Amino acid sequence: MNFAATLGLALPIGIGLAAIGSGIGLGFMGRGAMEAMGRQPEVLPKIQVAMIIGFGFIEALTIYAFVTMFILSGKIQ
Amino acid sequence: MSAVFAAIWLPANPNAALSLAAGQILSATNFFFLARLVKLFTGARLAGDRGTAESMRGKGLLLGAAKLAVVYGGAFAVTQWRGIEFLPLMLGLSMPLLAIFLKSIMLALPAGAAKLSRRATSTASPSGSQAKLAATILLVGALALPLALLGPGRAFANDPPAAATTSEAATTTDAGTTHDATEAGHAEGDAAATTATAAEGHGEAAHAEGEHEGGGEAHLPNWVTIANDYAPNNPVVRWMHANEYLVFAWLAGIVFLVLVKVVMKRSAPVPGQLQNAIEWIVESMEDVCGGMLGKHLPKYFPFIMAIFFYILFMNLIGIVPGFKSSTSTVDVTLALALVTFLSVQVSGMINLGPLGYLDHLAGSPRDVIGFCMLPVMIPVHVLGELVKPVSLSCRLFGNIFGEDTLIVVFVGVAAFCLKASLLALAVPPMAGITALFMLLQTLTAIVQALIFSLLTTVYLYMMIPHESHAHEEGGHAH
Amino acid sequence: MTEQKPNKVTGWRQIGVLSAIPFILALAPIVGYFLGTLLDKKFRTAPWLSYVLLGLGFVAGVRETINLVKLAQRED
Repeated sequence: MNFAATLGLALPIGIGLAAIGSGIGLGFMGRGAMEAMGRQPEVLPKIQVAMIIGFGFIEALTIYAFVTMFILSGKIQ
Repeated sequence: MSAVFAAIWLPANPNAALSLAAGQILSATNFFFLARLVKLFTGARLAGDRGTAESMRGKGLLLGAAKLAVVYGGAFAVTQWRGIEFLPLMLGLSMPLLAIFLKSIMLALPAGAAKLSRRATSTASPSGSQAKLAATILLVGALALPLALLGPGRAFANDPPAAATTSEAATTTDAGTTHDATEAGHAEGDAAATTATAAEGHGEAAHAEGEHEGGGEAHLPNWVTIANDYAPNNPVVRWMHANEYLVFAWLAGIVFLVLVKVVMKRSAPVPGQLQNAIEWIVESMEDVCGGMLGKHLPKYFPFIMAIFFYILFMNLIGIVPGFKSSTSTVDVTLALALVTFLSVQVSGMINLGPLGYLDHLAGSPRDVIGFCMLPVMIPVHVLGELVKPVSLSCRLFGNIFGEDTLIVVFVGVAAFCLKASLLALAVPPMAGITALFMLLQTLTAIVQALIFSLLTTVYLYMMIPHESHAHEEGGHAH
Repeated sequence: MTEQKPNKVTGWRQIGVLSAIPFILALAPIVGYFLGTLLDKKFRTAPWLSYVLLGLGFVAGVRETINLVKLAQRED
């Protein structure tokens, strides 16, 4: 098994794993935010902003994986 | 019209003519049944009492069964028929669709504009002249933008070694295009049968010649690809094929220019629908940007709007069958972001002055600790400035490219289903799904153009001197 | 309508600004790394500059994120 074949196998799996992980993270985050919003509707804007920022942090990890995939996929020839 | 086409083709190529006619008849019957079904179901819902509704549902079921039998049976029979020629069949299938598509666009445009104009009249009337002024400057900006684009675009397309060092994606695009050029030369005839099916999933893309498989990234064929397939040795066509993103970017600019020109020429005291819509867009953007830029708004607003409209048109042009969004490549978005980056930096230098600009880059040191951190803070700030255009371009590219790829994948599945003749029954649902994704693509196009221009505003705002900003920075340095 | 408008504007701006965070956060180290490799090639200081700029890229990303969050929460 040479380098290119390994890469070709590993890249899709890697990006899938990244998607799964960030999906789980987003789910937890969304659940927490929704519960907090339901419990205290009066601080809704603050929770929303915090939620979106948290989403941003989680999304950043996915984009790391995505960019890494793009960089490495250039090496498959 | 169909009869004329069939008659023209009949003496030369009877099979093709028959295929064309068959496709058209199939499509027409399909639409007929669909229309009847829709009328029936809406009638059933409107009809209050149960008896008529029941009978109507029964009729609807009957009609649906008839449609299934006639249309899909016909489609199945057609796919089994040996003498079939795919391109004319697809042409015939998609011609009524194309007509309906155009008609619906015609219908939708005035309706949408009317809806907009009702909202606009409350806000538009006081500052109509201002909007007109903005549109004029915007026109100049739009003229300048393609010129600015020309530099990097040409460098990427004409100089493969340079492209290899500058961006990964450029090389893949180049590889894809050259691969396609060589492939198209010899494999014209037999490729047509397998690849013309790609058009079906769209339901509207009448002329399809070759879908890239392997090589670079997959994308649907557009008219430049087709022209290249027919005249691979024509230098103009070859140039256009190599720089198709540039061509479509120009096309977007031209469409935009013509639109603005038309609107400007007819700028009546009582604005029409189109003019009203554009004025509404311009003024709501003015609201959004004005909150941030304040008194600097008139200076930067034309630039922001030019970017907004240019990106919007480049995105939207990809939805029209046979065309391609030129923002789905990194080169174009990077060029746009570079224009933004340069304008932001230059405006920062002008607004803050050379010393103030250096101060901003150094993170506004106000005390000993700040000066001690200077060698660390300067690279950090420079990196922060550099990241902005990259993030802008990557986000735009990622969204548009992602949508395009999604549609290509679904069209590819539909084409595969059509090739395996029994699976052809799965094609209409696939077409529906693709249409849904195209709706999503429209939304993405608008939102991404909006966000690009909004972030440009934000970055400009960061470069404008104001008191609170300095305070925050001073507080932050502690 | 006049009551709603500032709210809507702030909302759009918040969406635009906050959705830029992941890209900035993710791409800053990467840009730093590539800049570092470029400079390494130029000055022949093989791996060091790229590592340093990678770290600085992280810092820059976090700093820009803080700026953006501050900007998004500004009320007006």
